[in-house]
Amino acid sequence: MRRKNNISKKIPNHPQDLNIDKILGNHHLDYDSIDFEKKEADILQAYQMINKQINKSRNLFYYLKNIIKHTNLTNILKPLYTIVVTAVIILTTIKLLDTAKEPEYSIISVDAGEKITVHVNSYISIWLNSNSTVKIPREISRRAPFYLKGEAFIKITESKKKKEYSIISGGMEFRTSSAEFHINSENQENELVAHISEGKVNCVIPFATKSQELTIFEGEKINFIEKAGFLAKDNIHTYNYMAWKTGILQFTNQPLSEVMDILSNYYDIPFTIKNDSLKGKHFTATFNNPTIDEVLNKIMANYNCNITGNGNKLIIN
Amino acid sequence: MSNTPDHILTQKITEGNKTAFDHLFFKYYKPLYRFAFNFCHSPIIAQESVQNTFIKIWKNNKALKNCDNIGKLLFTYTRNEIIDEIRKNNTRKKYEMNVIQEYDSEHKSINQEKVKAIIESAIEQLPDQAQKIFRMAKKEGLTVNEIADYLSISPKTVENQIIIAYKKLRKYLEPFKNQLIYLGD
Repeated sequence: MRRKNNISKKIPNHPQDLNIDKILGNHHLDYDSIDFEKKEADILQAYQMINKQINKSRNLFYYLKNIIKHTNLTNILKPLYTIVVTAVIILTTIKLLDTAKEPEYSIISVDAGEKITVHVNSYISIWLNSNSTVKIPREISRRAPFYLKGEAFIKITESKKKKEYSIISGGMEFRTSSAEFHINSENQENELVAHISEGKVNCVIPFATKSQELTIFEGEKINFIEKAGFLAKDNIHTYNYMAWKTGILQFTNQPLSEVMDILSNYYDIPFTIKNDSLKGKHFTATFNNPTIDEVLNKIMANYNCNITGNGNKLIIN
Repeated sequence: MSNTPDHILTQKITEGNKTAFDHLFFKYYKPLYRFAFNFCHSPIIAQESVQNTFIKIWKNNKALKNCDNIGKLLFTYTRNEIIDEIRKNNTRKKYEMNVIQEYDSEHKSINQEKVKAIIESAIEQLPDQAQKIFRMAKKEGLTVNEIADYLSISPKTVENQIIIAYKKLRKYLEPFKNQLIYLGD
Protein backbone atom coordinates (compact mmCIF):
# COMPACT_ATOMS: atom_id res chain seq x y z
CA MET A 1 0.00 0.00 0.00
CA ARG A 2 2.71 2.40 0.92
CA ARG A 3 4.47 1.95 -2.35
CA LYS A 4 1.30 2.60 -4.31
CA ASN A 5 0.72 5.82 -2.44
CA ASN A 6 4.24 6.89 -3.14
CA ILE A 7 3.95 6.37 -6.83
CA SER A 8 0.58 8.01 -7.21
CA LYS A 9 1.95 10.99 -5.38
CA LYS A 10 4.86 11.23 -7.79
CA ILE A 11 2.77 11.19 -10.92
CA PRO A 12 0.67 14.28 -11.58
CA ASN A 13 -2.77 13.16 -12.54
CA HIS A 14 -3.16 15.09 -15.79
CA PRO A 15 -3.94 12.97 -18.82
CA GLN A 16 -2.72 15.84 -21.03
CA ASP A 17 0.74 15.12 -19.76
CA LEU A 18 0.80 12.05 -21.95
CA ASN A 19 0.54 14.34 -24.94
CA ILE A 20 3.56 13.49 -27.04
CA ASP A 21 4.39 17.14 -27.73
CA LYS A 22 4.45 17.91 -24.04
CA ILE A 23 6.56 14.90 -23.20
CA LEU A 24 9.11 15.92 -25.76
CA GLY A 25 9.08 19.48 -24.49
CA ASN A 26 9.47 18.39 -20.90
CA HIS A 27 12.53 16.38 -21.78
CA HIS A 28 14.01 19.07 -24.00
CA LEU A 29 13.62 16.90 -27.06
CA ASP A 30 12.12 17.79 -30.42
CA TYR A 31 10.85 15.97 -33.45
CA ASP A 32 14.13 16.54 -35.24
CA SER A 33 15.86 14.17 -32.88
CA ILE A 34 13.17 11.54 -33.22
CA ASP A 35 13.85 8.76 -35.68
CA PHE A 36 10.69 7.78 -37.53
CA GLU A 37 12.32 4.84 -39.26
CA LYS A 38 11.12 1.41 -38.29
CA LYS A 39 13.75 -0.72 -36.68
CA GLU A 40 12.96 -4.34 -37.24
CA ALA A 41 13.27 -5.95 -33.87
CA ASP A 42 12.39 -9.62 -33.95
CA ILE A 43 10.75 -9.77 -30.59
CA LEU A 44 9.59 -13.38 -30.89
CA GLN A 45 13.01 -14.64 -31.78
CA ALA A 46 14.44 -12.70 -28.87
CA TYR A 47 11.82 -14.17 -26.60
CA GLN A 48 12.68 -17.71 -27.64
CA MET A 49 16.37 -17.07 -27.16
CA ILE A 50 15.83 -15.71 -23.69
CA ASN A 51 13.68 -18.66 -22.68
CA LYS A 52 16.34 -21.03 -23.94
CA GLN A 53 19.00 -19.24 -21.95
CA ILE A 54 16.88 -19.06 -18.83
CA ASN A 55 16.02 -22.75 -18.97
CA LYS A 56 19.62 -23.72 -19.59
CA SER A 57 20.86 -21.75 -16.66
CA ARG A 58 17.87 -22.74 -14.61
CA ASN A 59 18.63 -26.43 -14.86
CA LEU A 60 22.20 -26.18 -13.70
CA PHE A 61 21.97 -23.06 -11.70
CA TYR A 62 18.87 -23.91 -9.75
CA TYR A 63 20.02 -27.43 -9.14
CA LEU A 64 23.24 -26.19 -7.58
CA LYS A 65 21.47 -23.40 -5.81
CA ASN A 66 19.03 -25.83 -4.24
CA ILE A 67 21.79 -28.14 -3.13
CA ILE A 68 23.59 -25.27 -1.50
CA LYS A 69 20.41 -23.98 0.02
CA HIS A 70 19.36 -27.29 1.52
CA THR A 71 22.70 -28.35 2.88
CA ASN A 72 24.15 -26.40 5.70
CA LEU A 73 27.57 -25.91 4.27
CA THR A 74 29.10 -24.15 7.23
CA ASN A 75 28.64 -27.29 9.31
CA ILE A 76 30.63 -29.30 6.81
CA LEU A 77 33.09 -26.66 5.79
CA LYS A 78 34.17 -25.48 9.19
CA PRO A 79 35.73 -28.74 10.43
CA LEU A 80 37.04 -29.44 6.94
CA TYR A 81 38.66 -26.05 6.84
CA THR A 82 40.27 -26.51 10.25
CA ILE A 83 41.51 -29.96 9.32
CA VAL A 84 43.07 -28.69 6.12
CA VAL A 85 44.69 -25.72 7.82
CA THR A 86 46.15 -27.78 10.68
CA ALA A 87 47.39 -30.40 8.24
CA VAL A 88 49.12 -27.75 6.17
CA ILE A 89 50.71 -26.21 9.26
CA ILE A 90 51.90 -29.58 10.57
CA LEU A 91 53.31 -30.61 7.21
CA THR A 92 55.17 -27.36 6.73
CA THR A 93 56.68 -27.49 10.22
CA ILE A 94 57.74 -31.09 9.67
CA LYS A 95 59.26 -30.14 6.37
CA LEU A 96 61.00 -27.13 7.88
CA LEU A 97 62.33 -29.15 10.82
CA ASP A 98 63.43 -31.87 8.45
CA THR A 99 65.42 -29.55 6.23
CA ALA A 100 66.72 -27.60 9.20
CA LYS A 101 67.99 -30.79 10.80
CA GLU A 102 71.59 -30.95 9.69
CA PRO A 103 72.99 -34.43 9.48
CA GLU A 104 75.43 -35.09 12.28
CA TYR A 105 79.06 -35.57 11.43
CA SER A 106 82.16 -37.05 12.93
CA ILE A 107 85.20 -35.00 12.06
CA ILE A 108 88.61 -36.60 11.67
CA SER A 109 91.65 -34.40 11.23
CA VAL A 110 95.18 -35.57 10.55
CA ASP A 111 98.17 -33.50 11.63
CA ALA A 112 101.27 -32.86 9.57
CA GLY A 113 103.48 -35.90 9.12
CA GLU A 114 100.82 -38.40 10.12
CA LYS A 115 98.58 -40.75 8.21
CA ILE A 116 95.38 -42.43 9.28
CA THR A 117 93.18 -45.15 7.89
CA VAL A 118 89.48 -44.98 8.71
CA HIS A 119 87.22 -47.94 8.11
CA VAL A 120 83.85 -46.23 8.15
CA ASN A 121 81.92 -49.45 7.66
CA SER A 122 82.50 -52.70 5.87
CA TYR A 123 82.10 -50.97 2.51
CA ILE A 124 83.99 -47.73 2.92
CA SER A 125 87.61 -47.22 3.89
CA ILE A 126 89.41 -43.89 3.83
CA TRP A 127 93.18 -43.39 3.95
CA LEU A 128 93.87 -39.85 5.06
CA ASN A 129 97.14 -38.10 4.32
CA SER A 130 98.65 -35.49 6.59
CA ASN A 131 97.00 -32.08 6.98
CA SER A 132 93.66 -33.48 5.85
CA THR A 133 90.21 -33.48 7.35
CA VAL A 134 87.24 -35.67 6.61
CA LYS A 135 83.68 -35.22 7.84
CA ILE A 136 81.82 -38.49 8.03
CA PRO A 137 78.05 -38.46 8.45
CA ARG A 138 76.75 -40.50 11.37
CA GLU A 139 73.94 -41.80 9.23
CA ILE A 140 75.22 -42.49 5.79
CA SER A 141 72.82 -41.64 3.02
CA ARG A 142 72.95 -39.88 -0.28
CA ARG A 143 71.58 -36.74 1.28
CA ALA A 144 74.37 -36.73 3.83
CA PRO A 145 77.62 -36.50 1.89
CA PHE A 146 81.17 -36.95 3.10
CA TYR A 147 83.25 -33.81 3.16
CA LEU A 148 86.93 -33.99 2.45
CA LYS A 149 89.59 -31.35 2.76
CA GLY A 150 93.11 -32.31 1.84
CA GLU A 151 94.27 -35.58 0.45
CA ALA A 152 92.75 -39.01 0.80
CA PHE A 153 92.39 -42.36 -0.86
CA ILE A 154 88.90 -43.74 -0.71
CA LYS A 155 87.90 -47.30 -1.32
CA ILE A 156 84.25 -48.11 -1.70
CA THR A 157 83.16 -51.67 -2.34
CA GLU A 158 79.75 -52.26 -3.76
CA SER A 159 77.12 -53.16 -1.22
CA LYS A 160 74.22 -55.46 -1.99
CA LYS A 161 71.85 -52.56 -2.26
CA LYS A 162 74.21 -50.78 -4.68
CA LYS A 163 74.07 -47.82 -2.39
CA GLU A 164 75.56 -44.68 -3.84
CA TYR A 165 77.80 -42.48 -1.74
CA SER A 166 78.55 -38.85 -2.16
CA ILE A 167 81.83 -37.11 -1.36
CA ILE A 168 82.18 -33.35 -1.58
CA SER A 169 85.62 -31.92 -1.92
CA GLY A 170 87.09 -28.75 -3.41
CA GLY A 171 83.73 -27.59 -4.74
CA MET A 172 82.93 -30.79 -6.58
CA GLU A 173 80.68 -33.65 -5.69
CA PHE A 174 81.76 -37.22 -6.40
CA ARG A 175 79.19 -39.96 -6.53
CA THR A 176 79.93 -43.62 -6.72
CA SER A 177 78.72 -46.97 -5.54
CA SER A 178 81.95 -48.82 -6.11
CA ALA A 179 85.37 -47.36 -6.78
CA GLU A 180 88.88 -46.80 -5.53
CA PHE A 181 90.04 -43.30 -6.01
CA HIS A 182 92.31 -40.60 -4.76
CA ILE A 183 91.35 -37.01 -4.12
CA ASN A 184 93.61 -34.11 -3.37
CA SER A 185 91.76 -30.90 -2.85
CA GLU A 186 94.65 -28.76 -1.68
CA ASN A 187 97.72 -29.08 -3.81
CA GLN A 188 100.07 -26.22 -4.62
CA GLU A 189 98.01 -24.82 -7.50
CA ASN A 190 94.81 -24.64 -5.47
CA GLU A 191 93.54 -27.32 -7.72
CA LEU A 192 91.46 -30.37 -7.06
CA VAL A 193 92.90 -33.56 -8.48
CA ALA A 194 91.16 -36.89 -8.44
CA HIS A 195 92.59 -40.14 -9.75
CA ILE A 196 90.48 -43.21 -10.26
CA SER A 197 92.30 -46.48 -9.78
CA GLU A 198 89.29 -48.74 -9.97
CA GLY A 199 85.61 -48.55 -10.81
CA LYS A 200 84.00 -45.33 -11.94
CA VAL A 201 82.99 -42.08 -10.33
CA ASN A 202 80.38 -39.56 -11.35
CA CYS A 203 81.43 -35.96 -10.87
CA VAL A 204 78.73 -33.37 -10.47
CA ILE A 205 80.05 -30.18 -11.98
CA PRO A 206 78.85 -27.27 -9.90
CA PHE A 207 78.94 -24.58 -12.56
CA ALA A 208 76.96 -26.52 -15.14
CA THR A 209 73.44 -25.17 -15.56
CA LYS A 210 71.67 -28.44 -14.97
CA SER A 211 73.07 -31.11 -12.73
CA GLN A 212 75.44 -32.45 -15.32
CA GLU A 213 77.47 -35.42 -14.38
CA LEU A 214 80.83 -36.35 -15.78
CA THR A 215 81.84 -39.95 -15.41
CA ILE A 216 85.49 -40.76 -14.85
CA PHE A 217 86.63 -44.30 -15.32
CA GLU A 218 89.50 -46.38 -14.10
CA GLY A 219 92.89 -45.00 -15.15
CA GLU A 220 91.60 -41.48 -15.61
CA LYS A 221 92.10 -38.35 -13.61
CA ILE A 222 90.34 -35.07 -13.34
CA ASN A 223 91.70 -31.62 -12.59
CA PHE A 224 89.35 -28.94 -11.40
CA ILE A 225 89.84 -25.34 -10.30
CA GLU A 226 86.62 -24.04 -8.86
CA LYS A 227 87.45 -20.34 -8.95
CA ALA A 228 88.61 -20.44 -12.55
CA GLY A 229 85.86 -22.77 -13.69
CA PHE A 230 88.57 -25.00 -15.13
CA LEU A 231 87.98 -28.69 -15.69
CA ALA A 232 90.14 -31.25 -17.41
CA LYS A 233 90.00 -34.99 -17.77
CA ASP A 234 93.09 -36.97 -18.65
CA ASN A 235 94.67 -40.39 -18.40
CA ILE A 236 96.88 -41.17 -15.44
CA HIS A 237 100.59 -41.07 -16.30
CA THR A 238 102.38 -41.48 -12.98
CA TYR A 239 101.38 -43.15 -9.81
CA ASN A 240 103.22 -40.83 -7.46
CA TYR A 241 100.00 -39.47 -6.14
CA MET A 242 99.76 -42.76 -4.30
CA ALA A 243 103.26 -42.61 -2.88
CA TRP A 244 102.14 -41.42 0.52
CA LYS A 245 100.02 -44.54 0.82
CA THR A 246 102.02 -47.23 -0.96
CA GLY A 247 105.47 -45.86 -0.26
CA ILE A 248 106.46 -46.29 -3.88
CA LEU A 249 108.04 -43.20 -5.39
CA GLN A 250 108.50 -43.28 -9.10
CA PHE A 251 110.07 -40.54 -11.19
CA THR A 252 110.17 -40.84 -14.92
CA ASN A 253 112.13 -38.07 -16.58
CA GLN A 254 110.69 -35.37 -14.36
CA PRO A 255 112.30 -31.95 -13.80
CA LEU A 256 114.19 -31.80 -10.57
CA SER A 257 112.03 -29.00 -9.21
CA GLU A 258 108.97 -31.22 -9.59
CA VAL A 259 110.80 -34.10 -7.97
CA MET A 260 111.69 -31.91 -5.04
CA ASP A 261 108.08 -30.77 -4.75
CA ILE A 262 106.97 -34.34 -4.42
CA LEU A 263 109.71 -35.13 -1.94
CA SER A 264 109.04 -32.15 0.23
CA ASN A 265 105.40 -33.10 0.26
CA TYR A 266 106.23 -36.69 1.04
CA TYR A 267 108.68 -35.98 3.84
CA ASP A 268 107.17 -32.66 4.89
CA ILE A 269 110.43 -30.76 4.60
CA PRO A 270 110.81 -27.50 2.64
CA PHE A 271 113.78 -27.02 0.31
CA THR A 272 115.44 -24.52 -1.98
CA ILE A 273 117.40 -25.15 -5.14
CA LYS A 274 120.27 -22.67 -5.18
CA ASN A 275 122.03 -23.99 -8.25
CA ASP A 276 120.03 -22.73 -11.24
CA SER A 277 121.59 -25.20 -13.65
CA LEU A 278 120.06 -28.06 -11.67
CA LYS A 279 116.49 -26.82 -12.19
CA GLY A 280 116.45 -27.95 -15.80
CA LYS A 281 117.79 -31.44 -15.06
CA HIS A 282 115.45 -34.42 -15.32
CA PHE A 283 115.36 -37.33 -12.94
CA THR A 284 114.34 -40.96 -13.35
CA ALA A 285 114.26 -43.43 -10.49
CA THR A 286 112.04 -45.76 -8.50
CA PHE A 287 112.07 -46.18 -4.74
CA ASN A 288 110.18 -48.51 -2.49
CA ASN A 289 109.44 -47.08 0.90
CA PRO A 290 112.63 -45.03 0.90
CA THR A 291 114.08 -42.96 3.69
CA ILE A 292 114.90 -39.38 2.78
CA ASP A 293 118.61 -40.10 2.83
CA GLU A 294 118.26 -42.84 0.23
CA VAL A 295 116.54 -40.47 -2.19
CA LEU A 296 118.83 -37.53 -1.54
CA ASN A 297 121.91 -39.70 -1.91
CA LYS A 298 120.66 -40.93 -5.24
CA ILE A 299 120.05 -37.39 -6.45
CA MET A 300 123.44 -36.21 -5.18
CA ALA A 301 125.13 -39.15 -6.94
CA ASN A 302 123.28 -38.50 -10.16
CA TYR A 303 123.98 -34.78 -10.49
CA ASN A 304 127.10 -34.47 -8.46
CA CYS A 305 125.58 -31.82 -6.26
CA ASN A 306 125.50 -31.14 -2.57
CA ILE A 307 122.46 -31.25 -0.37
CA THR A 308 122.67 -29.89 3.14
CA GLY A 309 120.11 -29.48 5.82
CA ASN A 310 120.04 -26.53 8.20
CA GLY A 311 117.63 -28.08 10.67
CA ASN A 312 114.28 -27.29 9.01
CA LYS A 313 115.18 -26.75 5.38
CA LEU A 314 117.07 -28.53 2.61
CA ILE A 315 119.48 -26.52 0.50
CA ILE A 316 120.64 -27.95 -2.81
CA ASN A 317 123.87 -26.56 -4.26
CA MET B 1 -2.34 -8.35 -17.23
CA SER B 2 -1.07 -6.35 -20.19
CA ASN B 3 -1.72 -3.08 -18.39
CA THR B 4 -0.47 -4.22 -15.03
CA PRO B 5 1.55 -1.42 -13.45
CA ASP B 6 5.29 -1.95 -13.31
CA HIS B 7 5.53 -2.16 -9.56
CA ILE B 8 3.11 -5.10 -9.46
CA LEU B 9 5.04 -6.84 -12.23
CA THR B 10 8.23 -6.21 -10.30
CA GLN B 11 6.79 -7.71 -7.17
CA LYS B 12 5.62 -10.82 -9.01
CA ILE B 13 8.98 -11.23 -10.73
CA THR B 14 10.63 -11.06 -7.34
CA GLU B 15 8.46 -13.99 -6.32
CA GLY B 16 9.63 -15.88 -9.43
CA ASN B 17 6.53 -15.41 -11.57
CA LYS B 18 7.61 -16.16 -15.15
CA THR B 19 4.37 -14.77 -16.68
CA ALA B 20 5.03 -11.42 -15.08
CA PHE B 21 8.53 -11.55 -16.48
CA ASP B 22 7.13 -12.30 -19.94
CA HIS B 23 4.85 -9.29 -19.69
CA LEU B 24 7.74 -7.11 -18.72
CA PHE B 25 9.68 -8.50 -21.65
CA PHE B 26 6.97 -7.81 -24.23
CA LYS B 27 6.32 -4.40 -22.80
CA TYR B 28 9.90 -3.18 -22.74
CA TYR B 29 11.67 -5.14 -25.46
CA LYS B 30 11.00 -2.73 -28.32
CA PRO B 31 11.84 0.50 -26.48
CA LEU B 32 14.97 -1.13 -25.08
CA TYR B 33 16.02 -2.40 -28.49
CA ARG B 34 15.45 1.05 -29.91
CA PHE B 35 17.44 2.57 -27.06
CA ALA B 36 20.26 0.12 -27.59
CA PHE B 37 20.25 0.62 -31.32
CA ASN B 38 20.44 4.40 -30.93
CA PHE B 39 23.62 3.85 -28.92
CA CYS B 40 25.46 1.31 -30.98
CA HIS B 41 23.77 1.34 -34.42
CA SER B 42 24.30 -2.41 -34.63
CA PRO B 43 21.28 -4.73 -34.64
CA ILE B 44 23.39 -7.62 -33.29
CA ILE B 45 24.84 -5.74 -30.35
CA ALA B 46 21.48 -4.14 -29.61
CA GLN B 47 19.71 -7.48 -29.58
CA GLU B 48 22.34 -9.15 -27.47
CA SER B 49 22.55 -6.41 -24.88
CA VAL B 50 18.78 -6.31 -24.43
CA GLN B 51 18.68 -10.07 -24.09
CA ASN B 52 21.44 -10.03 -21.51
CA THR B 53 19.60 -7.33 -19.61
CA PHE B 54 16.48 -9.45 -19.31
CA ILE B 55 18.44 -12.55 -18.38
CA LYS B 56 20.22 -10.56 -15.70
CA ILE B 57 16.90 -9.30 -14.35
CA TRP B 58 15.48 -12.81 -14.21
CA LYS B 59 18.53 -14.38 -12.64
CA ASN B 60 18.77 -11.71 -9.98
CA ASN B 61 15.05 -11.44 -9.49
CA LYS B 62 15.49 -11.41 -5.71
CA ALA B 63 17.47 -8.22 -5.99
CA LEU B 64 14.47 -6.41 -7.44
CA LYS B 65 12.82 -6.34 -4.05
CA ASN B 66 13.83 -2.76 -3.36
CA CYS B 67 13.49 -1.54 -6.92
CA ASP B 68 10.70 1.00 -7.36
CA ASN B 69 11.37 1.82 -10.99
CA ILE B 70 12.10 -1.26 -13.01
CA GLY B 71 11.87 0.68 -16.27
CA LYS B 72 14.75 2.90 -15.30
CA LEU B 73 16.69 -0.14 -14.15
CA LEU B 74 16.13 -1.87 -17.48
CA PHE B 75 17.41 1.08 -19.45
CA THR B 76 20.43 1.49 -17.19
CA TYR B 77 21.28 -2.22 -17.41
CA THR B 78 20.93 -2.13 -21.17
CA ARG B 79 23.25 0.82 -21.49
CA ASN B 80 25.86 -0.96 -19.36
CA GLU B 81 25.41 -4.13 -21.38
CA ILE B 82 26.01 -2.23 -24.62
CA ILE B 83 29.20 -0.74 -23.28
CA ASP B 84 30.33 -4.17 -22.08
CA GLU B 85 29.35 -5.74 -25.35
CA ILE B 86 31.26 -3.16 -27.37
CA ARG B 87 34.31 -3.49 -25.16
CA LYS B 88 34.26 -7.23 -25.65
CA ASN B 89 34.31 -6.69 -29.36
CA ASN B 90 37.79 -5.50 -30.13
CA THR B 91 37.07 -4.78 -33.74
CA ARG B 92 34.59 -2.19 -32.67
CA LYS B 93 36.96 -0.54 -30.27
CA LYS B 94 36.98 2.64 -32.27
CA TYR B 95 33.25 2.73 -32.08
CA GLU B 96 33.15 2.47 -28.35
CA MET B 97 35.05 5.73 -28.11
CA ASN B 98 32.47 7.40 -30.32
CA VAL B 99 29.63 6.20 -28.16
CA ILE B 100 31.19 7.41 -24.96
CA GLN B 101 32.29 10.70 -26.39
CA GLU B 102 28.95 11.36 -27.94
CA TYR B 103 27.27 10.54 -24.70
CA ASP B 104 29.52 12.84 -22.75
CA SER B 105 29.64 15.76 -25.15
CA GLU B 106 25.94 16.09 -25.78
CA HIS B 107 25.04 15.67 -22.14
CA LYS B 108 22.08 13.67 -23.19
CA SER B 109 20.94 12.05 -20.04
CA ILE B 110 20.05 8.41 -19.99
CA ASN B 111 16.59 9.70 -19.16
CA GLN B 112 16.33 11.62 -22.43
CA GLU B 113 17.56 8.65 -24.43
CA LYS B 114 15.03 6.49 -22.64
CA VAL B 115 12.13 8.84 -23.47
CA LYS B 116 13.31 9.10 -27.06
CA ALA B 117 13.42 5.32 -27.40
CA ILE B 118 9.97 4.86 -25.92
CA ILE B 119 8.47 7.50 -28.19
CA GLU B 120 10.19 6.09 -31.24
CA SER B 121 8.94 2.60 -30.50
CA ALA B 122 5.43 4.02 -30.06
CA ILE B 123 5.58 5.87 -33.38
CA GLU B 124 6.76 2.65 -34.96
CA GLN B 125 3.47 1.03 -34.02
CA LEU B 126 1.30 3.64 -35.74
CA PRO B 127 -0.58 2.56 -38.86
CA ASP B 128 1.48 3.37 -41.94
CA GLN B 129 -0.72 6.17 -43.25
CA ALA B 130 -1.01 7.86 -39.87
CA GLN B 131 2.72 7.50 -39.27
CA LYS B 132 3.56 9.01 -42.65
CA ILE B 133 1.29 11.99 -42.15
CA PHE B 134 2.42 12.49 -38.58
CA ARG B 135 6.03 12.53 -39.73
CA MET B 136 5.31 15.03 -42.47
CA ALA B 137 3.49 17.29 -40.08
CA LYS B 138 5.91 17.08 -37.21
CA LYS B 139 9.33 16.26 -38.48
CA GLU B 140 9.21 17.91 -41.88
CA GLY B 141 7.04 20.79 -40.66
CA LEU B 142 4.50 20.71 -43.51
CA THR B 143 1.06 22.26 -43.11
CA VAL B 144 -2.13 20.24 -43.38
CA ASN B 145 -2.84 21.65 -46.86
CA GLU B 146 0.66 20.87 -48.10
CA ILE B 147 0.35 17.29 -46.95
CA ALA B 148 -3.11 17.01 -48.51
CA ASP B 149 -1.76 18.31 -51.82
CA TYR B 150 1.23 16.03 -51.73
CA LEU B 151 -0.75 12.90 -50.96
CA SER B 152 -3.76 13.89 -53.08
CA ILE B 153 -6.20 13.51 -50.20
CA SER B 154 -8.51 15.95 -48.53
CA PRO B 155 -7.21 18.21 -45.73
CA LYS B 156 -9.89 16.80 -43.49
CA THR B 157 -8.43 13.30 -43.84
CA VAL B 158 -5.03 14.64 -42.96
CA GLU B 159 -6.40 16.28 -39.82
CA ASN B 160 -8.21 13.09 -38.89
CA GLN B 161 -5.09 11.04 -39.35
CA ILE B 162 -3.10 13.39 -37.13
CA ILE B 163 -5.77 13.15 -34.43
CA ILE B 164 -5.69 9.35 -34.74
CA ALA B 165 -1.91 9.44 -34.43
CA TYR B 166 -2.12 11.50 -31.23
CA LYS B 167 -4.79 9.24 -29.77
CA LYS B 168 -2.92 6.08 -30.59
CA LEU B 169 0.33 7.48 -29.31
CA ARG B 170 -1.31 8.37 -26.03
CA LYS B 171 -2.59 4.83 -25.79
CA TYR B 172 0.80 3.36 -26.61
CA LEU B 173 2.56 5.64 -24.18
CA GLU B 174 0.09 5.06 -21.36
CA PRO B 175 1.86 1.96 -19.99
CA PHE B 176 5.12 3.89 -19.87
CA LYS B 177 3.81 6.95 -18.13
CA ASN B 178 6.02 6.24 -15.15
CA GLN B 179 9.01 6.58 -17.42
CA LEU B 180 7.76 9.56 -19.38
CA ILE B 181 6.62 12.01 -16.78
CA TYR B 182 9.40 14.42 -16.18
CA LEU B 183 10.16 14.28 -12.49
CA GLY B 184 13.16 16.51 -12.61
CA ASP B 185 15.73 13.84 -11.75
